[in-house]
Amino acid sequence: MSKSEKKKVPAASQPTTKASEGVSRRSFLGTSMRSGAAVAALAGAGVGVARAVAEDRTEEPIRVPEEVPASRAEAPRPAEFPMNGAEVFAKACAAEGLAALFCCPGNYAVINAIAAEGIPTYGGRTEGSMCAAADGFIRVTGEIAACSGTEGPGFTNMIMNIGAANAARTPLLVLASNMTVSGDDTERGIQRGYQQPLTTGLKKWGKRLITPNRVHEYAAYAFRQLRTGVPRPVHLDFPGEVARARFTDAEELIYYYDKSRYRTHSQPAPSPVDVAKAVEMIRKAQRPMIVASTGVFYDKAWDALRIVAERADIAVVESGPSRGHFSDSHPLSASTAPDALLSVDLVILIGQYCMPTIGEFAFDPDARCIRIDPDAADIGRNIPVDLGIVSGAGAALEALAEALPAAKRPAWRSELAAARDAFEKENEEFYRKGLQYSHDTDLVHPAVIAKGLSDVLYHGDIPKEQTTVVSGGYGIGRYTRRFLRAYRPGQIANGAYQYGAIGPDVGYTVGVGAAVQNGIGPQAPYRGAPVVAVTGDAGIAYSGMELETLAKYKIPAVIVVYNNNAWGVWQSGRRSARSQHMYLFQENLRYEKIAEALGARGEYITRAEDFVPALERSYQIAATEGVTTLLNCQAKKEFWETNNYPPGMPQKVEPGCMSYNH
Amino acid sequence: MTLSSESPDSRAVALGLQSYADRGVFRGFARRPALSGRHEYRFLWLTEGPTVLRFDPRSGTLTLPDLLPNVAYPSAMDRALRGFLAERSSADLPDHRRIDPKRASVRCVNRAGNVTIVLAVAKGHGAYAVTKAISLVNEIFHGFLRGPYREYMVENFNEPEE
Repeated sequence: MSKSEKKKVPAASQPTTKASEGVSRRSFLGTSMRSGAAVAALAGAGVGVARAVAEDRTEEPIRVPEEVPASRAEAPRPAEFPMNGAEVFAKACAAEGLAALFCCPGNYAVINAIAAEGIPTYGGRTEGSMCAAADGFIRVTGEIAACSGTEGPGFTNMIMNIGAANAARTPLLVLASNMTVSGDDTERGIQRGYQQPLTTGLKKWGKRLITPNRVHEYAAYAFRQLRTGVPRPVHLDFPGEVARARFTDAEELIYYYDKSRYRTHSQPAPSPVDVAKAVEMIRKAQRPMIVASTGVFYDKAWDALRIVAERADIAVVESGPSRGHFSDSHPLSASTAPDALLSVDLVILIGQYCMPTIGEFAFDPDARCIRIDPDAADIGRNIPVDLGIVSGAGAALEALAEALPAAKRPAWRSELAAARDAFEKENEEFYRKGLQYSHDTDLVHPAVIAKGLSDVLYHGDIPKEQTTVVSGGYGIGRYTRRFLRAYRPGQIANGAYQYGAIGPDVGYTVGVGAAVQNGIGPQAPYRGAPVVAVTGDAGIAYSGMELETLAKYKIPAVIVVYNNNAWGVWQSGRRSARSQHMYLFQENLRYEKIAEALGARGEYITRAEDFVPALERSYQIAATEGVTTLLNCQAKKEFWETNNYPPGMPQKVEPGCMSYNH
Repeated sequence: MTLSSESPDSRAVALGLQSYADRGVFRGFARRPALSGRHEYRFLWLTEGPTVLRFDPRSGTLTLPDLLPNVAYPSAMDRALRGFLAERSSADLPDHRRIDPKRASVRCVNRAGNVTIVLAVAKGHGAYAVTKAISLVNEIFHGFLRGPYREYMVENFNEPEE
């Protein structure tokens, strides 16, 4: 399509009625599939009566079936003895406070039992995306959630996102049915396979449950693993013999203890000797910095962190799969001060479960290092330490808050402020260039999107703490991470963290949106607010169908899709003969129409000045009507060329707001 | 030649570099005597390949030969690097980031596209200079090269494209 032809397309698909009144199937077919497969399919219906019925059906709007809200409104029906194995397990999940389940049908006995217990449940379109949804939910709440899929294909569909959750150290409960023990190795029926070997290296612990009367015991194993130490996914697969086993009373279960008996709330705490050493090192340092990572979030230790930082003027930089446990607006925050990293003379890694290697964090090589971690066996891995402290993040911060003498470091505060200003100036310069490129090309440069998000979410009428963001995408993320801010715990889910999966972003959005919709954990003050997600045209392919899930559950979201007609790494293809085609998509694809076809809204944005109005409009509709919008932002792949469009794809500095490796 | 028989600056350079190796910052640290009293040090640090540092006590120079390959001369990158190095001695920088020109001065040499960093060390400031040289390399990789040089990093330092 030529550019002149492209401009004939309306810049935005403006709703003529309330967005929630539904999308006419005829209007959708008429605009997007006029001479395509839909018409062929209708013509192929054959007899006249069938055609007439099909014509009438095109007037039917997309709508949520009444059974959806009705079944969600039903009162919980917790199981009582006699129970089956699935019900025993679900009851244990309820007692443990499992906060949500995201699934596709399959593993029927278990998911139905969990729903009946009253645990919030969500049914989506692919198991992989539901796995990401659970991961996203956990990353912004700190609460444990589960995903579930059917045996064989449903389970294997989850693998990529189990890997992502594992790399992010997410306490994710992975459930799957798995046929019957009695049929193992036979290929009787379909979907047989050994699951546990497939999650080797992607989990903290797992078990194929084969002894029916140990089902409660293994629920205890699972939650003991999920709630202690360094978290990672736990994977349980349920053969039919376990899920369907009948128990008339508790005596038929070998172990049936309350959680107070099978696990402890006790946390590893630092020795007084180690605390004294740390205090002395901090006292001697001139420019100390805490790297506050995953453990701080899961220990909900943000108050203790702030007290420690303020007591002794210690800078704090965030890293990890979620951001906001130390506000970017705090004068001691270094998350948007990358240049200050090079000045640090003492690094204090707290809860940094995913360890960088030497040189991946930008600290000066003369900086001393304290690492605080609950796993003694991990201290000293990758980065040598001057002091290792075996402790949970929360316990260590509380001990330091008690022991640290007050200290003032005004010069260090000034340097942090100067570094933050320098970073903002660099971002402004990126935006200035991006705006010029946008005008030169009549397309939307990623810096314009990033700046627009910042203007609307943090500098307009919306309280800056309100909006929870799924920060995803590949190339677009290199810009948006620079502009997105976190002012309170769980405000940003760092999508591509460590595993680098680009596709789960809409899946994450389902979970993050569900968390905000229900006001779980740190999302409580923002209950019902819209969430915003950033992804790319490569990423949207993996989980875009979950727009339907967002629409079905009226989870208010705005999905920003950076559409540059290519995989983000497209330049790799031009270094080799006959390769470029593998990296490119068709140009000007209309992802917003997919959104419309799935019951959401869509807008197509081709000019820089249209982005902010579209974002504001979509946010408003999400807030007032619970309708999700996909903003398809048209760009071009050449924006990644450093020579023609400097800075091209910006590089990142870790730790801090740009980081996603560690 | 043993450390004790070397010049104070040679000894300071050797001890300074050894301390990074002892702390685990450098891996595969090796010290090799070169000709005419010069010493060469090799270690793994920020890049996949070894970093080389040489100290010549007679000329009082610390050299990082061919630290950056494939930098065209003249080019915008070459000019930007020279500007970046000049700024390292700016009075605007805090002391802990600044290279005091009275104790060490920095320049670079571009030969056939290979950039060598040279620090001229004032007598008696070997310990200072070696610390500044290592910090300078860190600043080059985490500061200067984090500018518009992503493709350069991919092509020359095997930086992951993902």
